Amino acid sequence: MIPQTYELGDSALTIEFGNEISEELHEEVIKRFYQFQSEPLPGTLDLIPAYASLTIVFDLGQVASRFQGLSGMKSLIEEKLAQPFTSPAMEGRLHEIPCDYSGPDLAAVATACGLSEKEVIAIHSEKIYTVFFLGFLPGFAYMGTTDERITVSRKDKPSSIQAGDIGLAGNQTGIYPSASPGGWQIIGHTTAIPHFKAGDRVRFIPLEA
Amino acid sequence: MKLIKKGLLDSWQSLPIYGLQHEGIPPGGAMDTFSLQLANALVGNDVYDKALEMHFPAGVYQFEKSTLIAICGADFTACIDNVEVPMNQPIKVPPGAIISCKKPVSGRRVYIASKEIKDEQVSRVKIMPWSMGPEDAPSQDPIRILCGREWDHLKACSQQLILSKDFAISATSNRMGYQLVQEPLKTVARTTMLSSAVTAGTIQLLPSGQLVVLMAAHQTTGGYPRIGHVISADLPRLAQMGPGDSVRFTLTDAVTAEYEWILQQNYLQQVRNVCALKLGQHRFDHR
Repeated sequence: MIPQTYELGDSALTIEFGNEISEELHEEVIKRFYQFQSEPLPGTLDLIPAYASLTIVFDLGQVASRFQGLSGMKSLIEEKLAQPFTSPAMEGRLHEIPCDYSGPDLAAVATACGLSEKEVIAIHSEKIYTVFFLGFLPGFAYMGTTDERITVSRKDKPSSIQAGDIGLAGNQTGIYPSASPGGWQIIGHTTAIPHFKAGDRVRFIPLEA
Repeated sequence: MKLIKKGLLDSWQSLPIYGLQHEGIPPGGAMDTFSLQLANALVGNDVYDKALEMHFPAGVYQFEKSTLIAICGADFTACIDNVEVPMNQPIKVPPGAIISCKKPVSGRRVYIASKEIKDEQVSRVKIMPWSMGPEDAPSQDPIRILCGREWDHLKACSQQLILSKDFAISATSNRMGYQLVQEPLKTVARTTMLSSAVTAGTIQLLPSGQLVVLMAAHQTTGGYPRIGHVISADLPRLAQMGPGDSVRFTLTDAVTAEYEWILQQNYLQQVRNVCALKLGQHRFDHR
């Protein structure tokens, strides 16, 4: 798919690489994130990666008066996307996170998936996840994708969640960096929350009971 | 400034701070960045300085030193030592003076910029003889929006509704976003969307068919359809509305959005220049 660039209001452009959660698309997002970070377009205020998109927030005054507004920036973006880019930073780091699998929703998740609690733990901890992006709360990493055997829906009503709680939602998993109401199904907890970056990889290590 | 009595929602706010959204940290900042910048300009503060943002009932504060202040944004009948003082005008206040807000007249958020006066011991309240604020009453024109990526997901009748009806701002609205109330909007087809970045001014369509406009304290990403975006130049005007008010939208284009923004920025820069000159001149005369 050819990336599409569209306006997000009057001072941001979103480059859409596709419309699904996939590691291939996300690799492209991260590659371009580092490209626009190392060779920033004039007037760039923020670069926001997501699952399959990268958004560039501009200083409207600077962009409008000197570069014919967002339409001018669009052609600069297309020029950049046509160039190959590679950076060692794209590789990301591997975080191994000790996890105490005794979350309040573990039993409910196991029941919903037709598995034993032990099987849920084994399935969740065997895969290496990708940090897709950070959002929702400062430092909240959306990770995935989880094995389809442990795909669960969000809770109907958000409950109060502690910092360090590890949850599941859809085919994603994540760690709450701070206490917050949230709808994710909490299966575990960790006391070690690393400083994540989009593109990092994560493996959960079950603590021996 | 020393707190005497806490208001409903007082906070020190600056312009949004960008550069950390990839860490999930939103830019935040003042709701009405125009009034914030105007207040800072009037006292000769730096563009990035903080000012006190207050809602009604507002807090009561005491000045500990001789201070130059300016009150912009909402008109809450601001008083110094119980005497009403003008808005959009620099005011010298002596140490010990107390600022309070008596009655909400218009707008929802007041901004008080302050700067310590170091070369003069102020003994009584003195209103500087120049007013720089907007002279006209706040515009009642519709809030201008640009089409969002998912504007076409709406049925034509719902698009029409957005551009013709008043939307009530619900009581659950806050600095993160305004929930709007109208008859539920209809979509052409139910489409799933991946979460991606949002900005202040993004208008999202909730599954209930209601709209929410993201405001200053919005999160960095969101997964609801983006129906439209309030243009940057009109966000301060929207920020001066609140629960109980109703808002009407009209479509505009990117060229207008950019033009209006530049006009606003140029105006603020002009105020900054004039105030810097007058404050400098005033200091000179004083000596």
